[in-house]
Amino acid sequence: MKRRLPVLVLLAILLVPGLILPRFGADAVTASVAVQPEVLFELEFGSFTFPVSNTLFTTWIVMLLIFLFAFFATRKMQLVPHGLQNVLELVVEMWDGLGHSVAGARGRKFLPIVLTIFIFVLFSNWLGLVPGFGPVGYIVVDKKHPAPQGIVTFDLPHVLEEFLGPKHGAAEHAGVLAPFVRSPSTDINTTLALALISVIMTQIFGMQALGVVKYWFARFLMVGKFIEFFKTLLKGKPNFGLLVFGFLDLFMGILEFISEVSKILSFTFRLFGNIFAGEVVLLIMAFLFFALPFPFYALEIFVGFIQAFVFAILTLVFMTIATTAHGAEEHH
Amino acid sequence: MTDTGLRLIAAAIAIGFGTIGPGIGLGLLVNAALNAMGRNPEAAGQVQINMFIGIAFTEALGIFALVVALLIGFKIF
Repeated sequence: MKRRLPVLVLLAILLVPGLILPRFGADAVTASVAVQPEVLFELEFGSFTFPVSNTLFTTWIVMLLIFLFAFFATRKMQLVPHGLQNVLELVVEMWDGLGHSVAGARGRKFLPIVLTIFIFVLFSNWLGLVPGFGPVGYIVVDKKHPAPQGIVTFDLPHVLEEFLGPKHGAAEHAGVLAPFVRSPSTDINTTLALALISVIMTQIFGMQALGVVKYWFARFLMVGKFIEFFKTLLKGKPNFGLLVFGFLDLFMGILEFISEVSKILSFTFRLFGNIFAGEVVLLIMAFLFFALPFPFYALEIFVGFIQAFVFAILTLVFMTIATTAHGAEEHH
Repeated sequence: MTDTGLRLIAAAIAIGFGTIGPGIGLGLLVNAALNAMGRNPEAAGQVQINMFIGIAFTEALGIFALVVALLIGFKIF
């Protein structure tokens, strides 16, 4: 009962603005689905301007939250953990076990980056579900771009006209709701950055484990069979079977390279697509009927966890594959 | 039919048909993985990890469909 009271108070506090704000004309007149993040403000460094988008701003909030979480979880370390320390130990132990079962002794080496990805993606996915992320913002009427590219608005022209007045000519200049805070996972730039970190670190670990030259020649530039063929050619007994397999290996290397590049694409769009589509679904359901988002909200909490887990475990698995020497499976 | 309408229909078709194959593939994959886990619960961890790799490659096809649908829908080309 003691724990229920603060929750009820919080709910009441959240309910009050919902009841009062519409009286002052702060209706949710538009709901926009924008692939591009909206720019909140610009930082100026001399001649160089750095646009800070709402997703970047939320990334800073996520970083702050992770910092606070780690600080309070490890502040008073106890042998028998309580509260936050317990949660953190649960997560770390789960990944330690997974790392051991996937990568064996190398698991510990990959864990820092894998766990970082997991916690960051989990925090940013779940933060986007906090009420107020998305619908609270300001309305931008961009006169230079009457219908901004890459932005779909649900707003009806007459609703906008009512809100902005007829002088803006809402039909010609579509207004867009720019939220103050928005989940970083709904920005392709964030997910692309995470995918690049994951894939590039995989390559670096592979080169570190096998040696730069060996790694490249064993995975992408498989010319070993050609060298063997030339050796037999020099001896005067050319083995043409080796030449055929050489071309096959070369082709396999190219395919391997393409799959390496497509990993970036699939990492990026798996996370972005799932979280972005989830938020769009919640928005559309809210417009259909007010109680409809509840089951989807629960689903989104689950999806947010699963996507963070999948991103991290795929990174772990790809790192394990990259550090395993070619043909090592036959030895055990 | 306007240009926008045609583009939206194209995007809907791209994602709609594009997810049929990966959907079937994911069903088969998880079916096989669950069978394996049921028959040999001790190997569940290993099976699960390999299942995730398989899901990643299968789902990538669906993601390509999503990318194409987004490219068409948002007039990127």
